[in-house]
Amino acid sequence: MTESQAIEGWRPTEEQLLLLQAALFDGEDARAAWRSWSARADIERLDPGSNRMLPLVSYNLDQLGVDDPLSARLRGYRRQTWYKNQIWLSEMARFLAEFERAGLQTLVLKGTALVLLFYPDCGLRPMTDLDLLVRRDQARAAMSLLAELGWKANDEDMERRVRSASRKNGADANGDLASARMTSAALERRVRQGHATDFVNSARLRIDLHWYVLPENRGPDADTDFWNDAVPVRIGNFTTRALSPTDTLLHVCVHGAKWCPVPPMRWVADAMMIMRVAGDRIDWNRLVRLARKRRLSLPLGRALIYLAENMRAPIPPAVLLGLRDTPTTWSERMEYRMFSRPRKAGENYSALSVLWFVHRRLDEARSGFHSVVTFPVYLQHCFALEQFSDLPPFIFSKLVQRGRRRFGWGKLKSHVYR
Amino acid sequence: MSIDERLRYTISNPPIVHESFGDEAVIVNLNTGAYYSLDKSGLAIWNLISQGASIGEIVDHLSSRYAAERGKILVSVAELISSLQGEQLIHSESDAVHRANDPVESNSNSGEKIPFEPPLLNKFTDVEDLLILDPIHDVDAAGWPQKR
Repeated sequence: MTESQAIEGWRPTEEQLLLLQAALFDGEDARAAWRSWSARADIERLDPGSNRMLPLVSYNLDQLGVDDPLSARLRGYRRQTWYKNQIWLSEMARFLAEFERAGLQTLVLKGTALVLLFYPDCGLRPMTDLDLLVRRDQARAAMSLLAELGWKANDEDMERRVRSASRKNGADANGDLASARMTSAALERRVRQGHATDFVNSARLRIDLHWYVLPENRGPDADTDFWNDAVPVRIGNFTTRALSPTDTLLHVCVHGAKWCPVPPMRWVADAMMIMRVAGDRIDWNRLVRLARKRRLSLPLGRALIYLAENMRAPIPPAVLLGLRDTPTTWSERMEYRMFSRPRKAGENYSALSVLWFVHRRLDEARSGFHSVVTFPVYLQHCFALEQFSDLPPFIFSKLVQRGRRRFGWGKLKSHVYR
Repeated sequence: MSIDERLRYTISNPPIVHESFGDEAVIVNLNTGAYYSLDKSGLAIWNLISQGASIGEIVDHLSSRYAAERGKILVSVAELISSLQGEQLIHSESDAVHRANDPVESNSNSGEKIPFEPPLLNKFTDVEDLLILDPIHDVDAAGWPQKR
């Protein structure tokens, strides 16, 4: 293993790779991978990432006529996955219709789109939530609609902002305009800082509402090319959109080449299924062009190399060479390193680090010095502060809040920036 | 009992969705969350219903495959269809009698017939249980949804 591979926490382990090969290879290669995996793995103690692969493994083993003592349980897992996904899709169709009635355009990302467009049936890939993209300028309206439909933001702070903003009309009617402006500004601040947020309902279903496809790429026209190339996808009696196969492959690989507490090995299966089903519809030139434009050549290139070397993915060599030879900046390499290395339990990315990389991307045409000088102004914009002089006390209040949460500091006076 | 063998039925989709998993058909009512399964002769009957076969065609098909009197198979088919209708999984086609007979793909099985077991519609209604049951650790050898 090379030094760079050693820090890539997103790479499946040897055991996980065997399971992937059992799920995706043909013939004796798949059977051999299965025999090797089942000889060394304990199905009673699987990591969550491997667990989620079992329905697809079951499908492939049945296709190959493999009869194993585990077959019945694996088929049962596949049946349950199908059952859960059908119920989930039925719920999705209902509230997507509400979004349309409210004039909000939608595009489904990740699991929902993958299951509907690239997997043979709904029982092969467990879904735990709906990743839903709306236009950036419709993000707040989407959140208000979700609140009306009984969904709550998973983040307490975000939930408070959404609820306050949803009561804005009532505040206006009472003449409390200052309060209404503040709560609306608070929600806008969170939207500017992030790219998505989770919502849950009383049935414990989850929606991950996105207003940008990728956390790395934000700004007014960040997703125009994705929306323009979107394809229709049917959920029950409702038709919405999904990324094109090429763009889905980009999304899956870039997302997959990041470390995650739950082993992200499923991206390997997703990418292979996309290539298998889409075939010649993958526009490799567009894939490389978008990766370069979005400065994502490094994670995409690493992911595709992994697929080619370990899963025999049919990726044109010219694509791999082109991505490998694309110049990358020091900032891109540091960003990739930050997101791909394993994190300890409880360790989170520093919000300022994440915002720094986003700012650097938005400021890409300028020098690093320019980005450093303008970073505070970017933070002012992100935090929706009216004056630049509000930034230092705002950051101080955030540090105090964080200290309270982490270290149980006593209550200190701080500016009320919510 | 007089059974009109010309009758045909349609799966009530929506809200009924179904899928065949090898030797089993699974059916879900999305309005209630109720889960059903059919195997063996039940699976064959369900597949033929979904292809638009009439009762008579279903019975003919099964008679060529199973070692049982036609009359016995007819009664079993009628009973299963009655159960499926009772659960609102299928409904009869109003123009069934007047519809031109679209031939259902015949079973050209010329091998030995297998013993006939009356079809059994398995039903599971505890949605919460179905959703949270661990399909690897909390199930018996038959797998989900059979609890350990």
